[in-house]
Amino acid sequence: MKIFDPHIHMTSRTTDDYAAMRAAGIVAVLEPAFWLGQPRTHVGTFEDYFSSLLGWERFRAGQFGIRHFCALSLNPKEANDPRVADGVMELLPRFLQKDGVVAVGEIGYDDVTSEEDKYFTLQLELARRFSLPALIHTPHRDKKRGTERSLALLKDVGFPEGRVLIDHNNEETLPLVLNTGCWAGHSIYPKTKMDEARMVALVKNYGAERILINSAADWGVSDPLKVPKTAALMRESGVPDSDIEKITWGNPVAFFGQSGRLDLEDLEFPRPVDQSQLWQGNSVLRGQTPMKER
Amino acid sequence: MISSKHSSIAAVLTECVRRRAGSSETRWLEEAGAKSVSSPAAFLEDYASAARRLGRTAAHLSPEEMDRLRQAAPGWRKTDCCLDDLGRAVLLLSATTLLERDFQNLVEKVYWQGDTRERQALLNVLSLLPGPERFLRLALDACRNNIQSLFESMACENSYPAVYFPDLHFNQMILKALFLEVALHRVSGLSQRLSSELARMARDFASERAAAGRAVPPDLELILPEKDNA
Repeated sequence: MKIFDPHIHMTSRTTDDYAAMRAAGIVAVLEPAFWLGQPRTHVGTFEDYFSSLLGWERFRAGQFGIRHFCALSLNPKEANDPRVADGVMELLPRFLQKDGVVAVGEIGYDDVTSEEDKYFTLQLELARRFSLPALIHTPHRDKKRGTERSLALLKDVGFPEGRVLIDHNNEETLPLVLNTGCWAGHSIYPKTKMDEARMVALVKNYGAERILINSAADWGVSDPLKVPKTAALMRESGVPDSDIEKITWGNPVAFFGQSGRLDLEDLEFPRPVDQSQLWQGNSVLRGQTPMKER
Repeated sequence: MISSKHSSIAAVLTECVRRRAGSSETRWLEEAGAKSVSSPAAFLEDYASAARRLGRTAAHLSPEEMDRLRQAAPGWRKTDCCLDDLGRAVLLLSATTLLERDFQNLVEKVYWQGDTRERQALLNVLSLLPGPERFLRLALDACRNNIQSLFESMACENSYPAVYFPDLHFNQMILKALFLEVALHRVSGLSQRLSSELARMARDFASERAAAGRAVPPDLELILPEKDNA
């Protein structure tokens, strides 16, 4: 079964992770732009980060047969930083045009400040302008309030809910989100936030419609295999295969496909492995073309 | 005014696209080319979206097309361009009408803010642009890169390195080609850049490999003087 992890910060992960992910059936990932763990103090740092998501990180993923897509944004935390906020907003229009960008994100609230409000709104306008769906981060503190505020803002600006993915949901926020037309993502972590067992319970309760799961694996304690692990627990718990496929493949493809930038036919076939990249040593590839499945 | 040299290359490439892409795609390219003449902002947007517009399929230029292309652009060596590469080349050639400094800024933006395919499309035609020596830094960056296709776009079937790279950088490119398993016969103009220093590096590389019990690439002989190839 093919798996798409729709929220994972691969810049923080090693090639061991990529290899394990591919072995576990993950063939596509979406990496949203976020903060790195400590502040960027120059707009240029964002520029280079965006470039790396489009270039080096996409290449690293490709070495392991994984298709890499990204979302770009001024993230909620750094929207509060006047050293970078406006400068990043100037960069975004150019970068949102690029191949591989399939959403504006992560945007949303962190502390729910007025600056966060301002840049959340501006970036929804960018998403509208470039016909891209939006990936919304919900705060980890005061989450229910942050989610309610986010849903209210969407209504205020009239942003189409079917083109919004509200992420990091829990038992309290999921029903709020499903009551709108928005999609609902869930980040499965080893110790904190949502875990596999609770996710299975949510799926049994609410079904698979507009439900996505991700690992949100990043620089902290996290596990890039949480999506296949959760899928396995779902299977063991009697969740129908068709629901599991929808949650781990069909829904991410449908949601981000709204960008018009996913080659859906292409995505149906596992990405070819480029042997010239992985091949380590001496032997046979002398002057011959290394095997590249086309 | 676009120079006649650049406009004739652009015309050949546009014709190659026309034969392969749909009529609305070709029209898009022609309109984007016309805009590139005066608007850097429009250029950057169109350049970025060219891959989505034209597709990324291999162009497979015919022998006649290659002939026509080489007549317009004598330094042309590339054989494996895709449709988006051709379209982006047309846009770059159209933008050469911009003032010198503006054009240089634009090209640097294309590279430093470009994704891999955008960079490759630029590197393919770097030697055709006005004042190509101005872009040495970009070309050298491509050769420091570990993204194989990006390295190959500069190192293989590209006349730029043999003409513009200083010895140190040309030699390092060859060593990196060996590391990346890129066949040396693909480096254009290699025979013009042979030197005793390059041969020295080759011998040292062979010795390093032998000491590690690893195979020595046979195409090393391309950069060693004949007396070494006993």
